[in-house]
Amino acid sequence: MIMPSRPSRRSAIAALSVGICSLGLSHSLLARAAVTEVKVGVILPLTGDKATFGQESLNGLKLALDKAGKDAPQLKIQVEDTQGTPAGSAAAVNKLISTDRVAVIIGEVASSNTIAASTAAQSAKIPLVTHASTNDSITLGKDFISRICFVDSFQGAVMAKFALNNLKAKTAAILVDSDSDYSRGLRDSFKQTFVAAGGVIKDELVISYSQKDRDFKTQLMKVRKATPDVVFIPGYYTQVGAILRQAKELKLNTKFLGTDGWDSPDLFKIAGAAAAGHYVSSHFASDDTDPRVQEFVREYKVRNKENPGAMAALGYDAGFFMRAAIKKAGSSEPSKIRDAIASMKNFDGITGTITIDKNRNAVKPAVIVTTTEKEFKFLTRVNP
Amino acid sequence: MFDFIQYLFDGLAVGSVYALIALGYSMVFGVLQLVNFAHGELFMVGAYFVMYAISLGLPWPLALAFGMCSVGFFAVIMERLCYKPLRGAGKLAPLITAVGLSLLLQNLVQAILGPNPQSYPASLPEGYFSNALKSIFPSPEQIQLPQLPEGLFDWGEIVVRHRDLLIFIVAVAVTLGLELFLRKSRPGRGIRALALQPNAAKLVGVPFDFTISITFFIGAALAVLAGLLQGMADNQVTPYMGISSGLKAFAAAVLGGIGVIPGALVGGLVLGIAERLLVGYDLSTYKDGAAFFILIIVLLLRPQGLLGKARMVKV
Repeated sequence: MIMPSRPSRRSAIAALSVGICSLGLSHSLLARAAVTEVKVGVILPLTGDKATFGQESLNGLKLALDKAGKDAPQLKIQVEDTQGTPAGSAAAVNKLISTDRVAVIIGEVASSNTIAASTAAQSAKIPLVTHASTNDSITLGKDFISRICFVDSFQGAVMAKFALNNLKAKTAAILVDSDSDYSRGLRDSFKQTFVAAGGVIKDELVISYSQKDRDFKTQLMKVRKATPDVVFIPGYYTQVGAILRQAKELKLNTKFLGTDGWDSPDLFKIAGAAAAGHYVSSHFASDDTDPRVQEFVREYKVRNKENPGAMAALGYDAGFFMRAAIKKAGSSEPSKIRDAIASMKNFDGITGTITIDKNRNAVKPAVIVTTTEKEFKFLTRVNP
Repeated sequence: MFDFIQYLFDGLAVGSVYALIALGYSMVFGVLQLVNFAHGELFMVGAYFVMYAISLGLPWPLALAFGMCSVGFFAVIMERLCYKPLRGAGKLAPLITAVGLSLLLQNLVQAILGPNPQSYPASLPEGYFSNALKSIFPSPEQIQLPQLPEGLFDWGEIVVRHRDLLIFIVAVAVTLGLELFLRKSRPGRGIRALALQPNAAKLVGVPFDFTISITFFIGAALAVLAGLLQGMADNQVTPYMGISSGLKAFAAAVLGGIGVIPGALVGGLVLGIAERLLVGYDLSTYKDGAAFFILIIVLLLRPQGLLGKARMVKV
């Protein structure tokens, strides 16, 4: 059969133009469809001396993602272990960006590690949301970096006021982890608030230790001689556990104050009976009577056979927060997700209502917990 | 002044642990001129071994003896398999093997027992083997854990923990015992003969392989003792603990004069005290660097170490 040539050419052009149109249509459809799944990089200290923080964060995050179910947008997580070091964190971010091509990154816990990671993320213009790093400088001047936890200038002040008003302390000593930006930032904010309100912290009682230290007797002896009313230790549980234990050996009877770096079940394993009777600021308490907190605690316990700590709660919030932000962005494009994160308001998390301020920090309350030999007990909530 | 004396006392315990590890480095170097970098890992493995044995309910002397023998034999096998075939291959090959072994052990322990610090009572990782063990032994909660003495000597300005003195006394006793063993016993004399003049020693009938095995065994057993003391003092055992302690102990051995037994003790104590002084005067950031700075200074002035004897190099 022989077809006339003219109509065939015309119909071909028509078909082509319809094709182009539909291609354009399907392209925009595809772009919309792409939001159904977004690759999210996760960097956590899964090994090393902050490993419980990484594992709890991951457990919380996974619980949140599973609970969200099959609804779009789906977050496809790619988890990298940072070994709890700044170098490991920077390497993990670089791998996630260049090899896995993630759209957004959640993580690190320790501030020094997040600082290292954020430099890499900022220069690649990939948004990074830290769920747990509280050092003030992290988001400073880096417009792709934000956080869903409070900052240390708030946390340090909370503990200073608690020491002055609730414990009636007049003198304090500070033990500083000199390897950690987190610890140094908290030292400054605690000292500033404590001294401004009339408390006394002698210069020789701001004593440093290193994360590699195992014996803290020399530092504790200085405290023992000066007998301050309270000792503030902004540090991580591995060293703090050893410090508390050795303080008890030296029959040191001052009260210890801590920060969210203490919030790990391993604190009690290392310190044993010496863990009891101290005060710690944190993001969350598992015995908080809020029904939503209790629902989370129940679900977490079923899956992980242990009580969730603050890191688990923050990981959980990070999962839902990221999902909400991506939904709001309506795109898997990193810069759009960044804008959505920066403009999140009144996100209802289990660690409090999260509003991202103009410096991309979260404004939210802290809790103060007290310690027994085995666990943390909810004491009070402090609003910003 | 009181502070200074206090820091001297504080340094004793830290230095004594370095010394116990340094003895192994020193002995092995003495007979083979080999720096056994895997030695720090034996200390770590020993700490785990004894911790698990105690957590399973073994009384501590039995756990220690068990750990010393097991890790000791492990060291002997390690030497036979990894170092012995390289005896004729110059000095570089065994040295690199030692570094490799060290990394292998660290990562093996990390893979099997997990990367996180363990505390007393340690629970075994889940698995068939541990379930079998658990059915034989009582659960950790029912076990009365041994502890180092908790008391204090409180002399007002100066406070010394009983456990620090105990660790120091153990280190001194072990060093003296080892020196006595090397001087008086037959295998000990064999070790000294090999260290002095290997070929002549072989000619007069010192059993070469056997003597080297004994050297490795003793070194490993002392590392296990150090691991037990450190683990109990800190209530923390990690797969990484062998790296820094091992390196410091190596520095201590060189500082005191590698191959000289009392040198290991002196070197360990000097390093321990130097560390505590830096921490005391609020320079703890420089603590680890300082150990090696001291080492460099001493080696510039006395290349043979503090107690080492200058030896002519055979050409």
